[in-house]
Amino acid sequence: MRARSTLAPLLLATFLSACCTPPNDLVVVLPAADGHIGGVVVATDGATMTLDKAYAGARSGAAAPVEVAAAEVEQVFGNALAARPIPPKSYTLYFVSGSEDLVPSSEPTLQAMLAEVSARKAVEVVVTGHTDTLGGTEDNDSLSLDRATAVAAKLKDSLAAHGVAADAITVVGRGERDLLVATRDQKAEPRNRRVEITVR
Amino acid sequence: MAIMTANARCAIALGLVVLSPLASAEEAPIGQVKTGSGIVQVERGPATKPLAVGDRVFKSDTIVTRAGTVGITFVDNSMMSLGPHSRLSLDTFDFDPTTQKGAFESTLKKGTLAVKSGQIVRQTPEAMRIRTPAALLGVRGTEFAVSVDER
Repeated sequence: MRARSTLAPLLLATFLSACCTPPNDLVVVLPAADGHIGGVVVATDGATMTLDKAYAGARSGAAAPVEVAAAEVEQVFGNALAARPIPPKSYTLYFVSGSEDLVPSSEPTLQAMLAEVSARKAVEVVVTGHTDTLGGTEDNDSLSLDRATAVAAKLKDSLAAHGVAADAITVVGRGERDLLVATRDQKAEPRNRRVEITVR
Repeated sequence: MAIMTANARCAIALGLVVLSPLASAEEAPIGQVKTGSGIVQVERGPATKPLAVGDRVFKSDTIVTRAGTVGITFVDNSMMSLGPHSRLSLDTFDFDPTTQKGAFESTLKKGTLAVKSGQIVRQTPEAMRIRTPAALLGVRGTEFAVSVDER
């Protein structure tokens, strides 16, 4: 009895410190490599706050955004940040009109893409076709997919030689949704008829 | 030109017929492990397996790090990396590569997570959501990090 009565407060204290220390959760926006910060909206039971600047943070128990020191970011997130994958990298190729032959100026781009492929581990390649605004949306979807498929077939051997298996290559047709040069509808624009190779 | 388009339509029609039974038997991967160190596992259905660089991840996977870290790039080019002693569930991942419309929902139960949003968010702000035990994050397009204390 005596032993139990002296132990009880100790056990209670241990239990309380294990389960009821308020959690110190943190969300923090990082500086963006491209300078563009769209932000994060953080909703909790108590409040909704928008974090839209580098080092703006939402912390447990704080009702408004706080500024988080770079040193704390490094201390809390250093390991997670060190594990970030290399960002995907894109290369734009142009073709002689109506053919699958690269224009001469795209040849160095192709070589740079293959060098990037060799430099990465666990590499995937996405071949994305784009059209100009001439023709209908559905036709352009098909056309861009055809172009991407033809280019992927053409690149398959050189990609394989650089360690990319066939199942790591995907093709996408974006049609006229992602114009490099903004134009009106039904406008022939060679710079929009292109294939983008993304290495990731 | 007209012939290529007709071929593409044909291929798409065939693709749907041929691929749909496969798709139900084996879902398409949603991302690939690009970096890893130490002990990292994936809980997939009833199984727990080690996760290594090059492995694919799938919708409904839970990624668990012990004394380890892992970095994953998803098919919309969004990226996530976990510090040690973390637990992340990939709850929903829908992505149409043609329109880039989709939804990406995950839950960080504990640990540290660094995120860079991808094409899903570029097309539809806040279509990427991350739950924590205390908060719901709507991503408008950015790099950010989240830590969740073990409860």
